[in-house]
Amino acid sequence: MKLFAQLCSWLKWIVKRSHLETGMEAEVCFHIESYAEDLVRNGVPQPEALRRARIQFGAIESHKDAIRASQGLRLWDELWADLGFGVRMLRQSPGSRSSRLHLSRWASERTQQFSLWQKRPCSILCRCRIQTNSGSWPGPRTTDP
Amino acid sequence: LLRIQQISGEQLQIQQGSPYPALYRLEHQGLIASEWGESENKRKAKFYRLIAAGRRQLQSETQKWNNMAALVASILRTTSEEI
Repeated sequence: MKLFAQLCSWLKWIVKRSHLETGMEAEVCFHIESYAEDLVRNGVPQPEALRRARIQFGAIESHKDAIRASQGLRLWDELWADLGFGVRMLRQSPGSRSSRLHLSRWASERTQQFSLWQKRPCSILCRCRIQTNSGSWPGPRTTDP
Repeated sequence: LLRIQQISGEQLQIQQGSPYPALYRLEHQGLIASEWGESENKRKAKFYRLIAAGRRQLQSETQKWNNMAALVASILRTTSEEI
């Protein structure tokens, strides 16, 4: 039942991504503005209240990233980014060995990640994060213990 | 957030934005549901509510927490003579 709910939620995010991203933005803005209004009611001047509300909310983008990660979207986003990179490389030099090699490496890595995802979702998320931070593609070829 | 802080007797300080990833995760797991509505000041706002699966999960987690807390308390109560 839980798996079914997760699958439905994931599909909803994939299909209605821009709509849900707009909703997430609106929700965050509402929170900040409401908190600023609370501060104004307590005697804080409007611009200062908004500034304080933004600071106390924390880094908006990092919260939004955490939300996306909680929906399992990080893996999906990386998959598309990697595929796009591979296709661009193939377009630039269609017959080159390196572009074919990159695509085959991409395919094998992603297959491995998806199979690991089934067993240990947390470990694979950590691994993806490390790969993103390193800024390299296809990233370090580490294996889980 | 304000309510949680009040309930904890101002002991618990939660960063304003931190509940959102948790709320979205719970919704993703099918434990809570959300819907857009109108706030008290007539603005568009999102409301979350606990659904049946979430209530069951809460009951189970509460039970686990109480068991663990009781276990730790009984260990801490043990005197040197009892060991």
